[in-house]
Amino acid sequence: MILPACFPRSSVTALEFAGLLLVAAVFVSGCNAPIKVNSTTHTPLAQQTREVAEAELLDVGVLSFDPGLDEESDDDTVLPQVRMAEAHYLANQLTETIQETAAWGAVRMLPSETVVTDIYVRGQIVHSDGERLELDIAVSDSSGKTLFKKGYEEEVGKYAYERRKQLDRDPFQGLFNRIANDLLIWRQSLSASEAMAVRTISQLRFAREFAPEAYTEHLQTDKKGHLKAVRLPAINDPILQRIQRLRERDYLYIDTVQEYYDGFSRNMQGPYQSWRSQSYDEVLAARELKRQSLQRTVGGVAAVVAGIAAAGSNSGAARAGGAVAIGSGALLVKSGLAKKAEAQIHVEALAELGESLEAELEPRVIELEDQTITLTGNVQAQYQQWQEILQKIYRAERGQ
Amino acid sequence: MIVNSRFFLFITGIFALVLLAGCETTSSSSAQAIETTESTDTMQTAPASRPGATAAPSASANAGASSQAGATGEPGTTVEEVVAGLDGELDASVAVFDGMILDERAKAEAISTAAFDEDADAGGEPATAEDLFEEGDLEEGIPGYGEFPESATDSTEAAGSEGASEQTGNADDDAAAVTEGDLAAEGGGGRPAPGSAKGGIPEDIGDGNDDDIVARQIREAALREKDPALRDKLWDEYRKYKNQK
Repeated sequence: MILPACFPRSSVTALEFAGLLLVAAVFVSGCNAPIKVNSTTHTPLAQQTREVAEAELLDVGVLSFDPGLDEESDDDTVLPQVRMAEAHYLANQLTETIQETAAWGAVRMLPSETVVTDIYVRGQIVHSDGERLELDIAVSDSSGKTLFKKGYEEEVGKYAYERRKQLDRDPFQGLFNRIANDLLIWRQSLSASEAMAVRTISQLRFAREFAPEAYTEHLQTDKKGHLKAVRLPAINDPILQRIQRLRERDYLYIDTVQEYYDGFSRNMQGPYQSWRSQSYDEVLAARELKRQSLQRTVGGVAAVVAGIAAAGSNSGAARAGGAVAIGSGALLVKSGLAKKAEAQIHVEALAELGESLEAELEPRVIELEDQTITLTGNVQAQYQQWQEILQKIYRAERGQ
Repeated sequence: MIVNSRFFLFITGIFALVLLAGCETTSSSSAQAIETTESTDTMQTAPASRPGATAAPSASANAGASSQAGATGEPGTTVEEVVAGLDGELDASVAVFDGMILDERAKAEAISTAAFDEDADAGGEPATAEDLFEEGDLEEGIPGYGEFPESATDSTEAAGSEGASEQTGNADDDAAAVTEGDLAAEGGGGRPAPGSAKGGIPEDIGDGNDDDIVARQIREAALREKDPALRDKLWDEYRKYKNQK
């Protein structure tokens, strides 16, 4: 009998080898691992126990996440409008979680990076479906210094979608808790003077935006590109007092935008959680079927090869066994292909679910962005007017 | 001789051109000088026409006063008056901004309320969520996870929200009932109040956030158990298991 080059020729006979292959094929194809069940145990949210002085309270601004569509452009199940909606929704979930740690001043979602605040949280969605959420998070302060960058990933079990367990908690709440906890650890490592320095920089940045002539020299950029306060304005600086009034208006603007995001998240929650739960089932089913398909195909091919090897044996029984192995191997391969087709049905179901959610969310995303952009545009027009007035006041007071 | 006379004419022509160019330059400088003089006149006369400006005779003060007059368009106003005018302008603009923000917040609230009412009219979020979660059950064959108690399911359908539904379902049982007020006090009904769950959760039992699968199973069983003696045993098991951990 002619054996393939890879066949061992000395110690193991063709019959033995065929037998081994057959056993391996049966083992591989029959190996059905149980459905993966994850524990719903999640990281609890840490909270600030020591009271933080008001002067040291830092405001946190969470920007809408980067939907991460570039990275997933080849994935048909990722739909742009769903991702855009998730980018707002997940950021808002994180905002609420950070606020609950009780270590910060106001924690708000920001409509853009131009808004001045003490701490900025930026995120990118790397992966998101009902089963797994992966985010890249970067945190920086108002000086431009990056405090930390970290990837977070969480897989949830089916229990996360049970009615009883769900309550008002996001299935991926543990992931948001971990981010908030890391932020809290960083905050707790900060001394009072460091916290106040961050606040001062924010204050001067805001002042510089409205009265650049008055406050440009108060801030300097170091070699690393980080801002540093080099001069402080007088406490009774009349321009600064006016700017403080304007900053209060800026807070009102941010609070209003936050209401938009809150409303959007509330409206989105029902259909989105539904989609997540369904998508969870589909993802698991598709993966399971793909696994079975692979096992059966590999097992089938191995059985056919073993059968062919056995067919060349001198023993009649071995030849008969080989024929059976070839037949059953072919059946296994066929079954593997059928499983692959089934898996494809689930992949298509996932895409359909996404499209259905997309149709529901698209008008809401457009409405949110329309609201935010319109308000921001109106606010910017007012800010420009204030900048001009302040400039005139500054010049008048300086006798220019 | 012819060459010399041509050369003489060429030189004369160039000289004439130079003279002409020189005249033009001189006349343009003169015009500029006039403009400057006129400007200086304005700067010098402006302070004189404003009351109080004489108290600041320096050139820079004069220049500043002139600039302020330009800013308000009203020559004859003091620095304080100019700043007061600008402050008024700023106040007016801030008032417009406040009005705009108030309008926007009212709109945002109206949208939120409308969405909330829609949910309530439609039977609340559970109506949607329930279908989903029922379809999504993957835990067939895993004891204690595939089904929900009858009463809890019924009350979920009847109640308006996820948390509230559970609380209402629990209240159906013979254990301590919970009122709507209690739910509000619990922060929107997110978590069951101690002692309010089905069969009553003992005081020393936590909220189960950190339960693993086994602990959760015991907890589920205890919550479902109607026989008080068995229920107590299950809670004891739960305590033991949690302490072992």
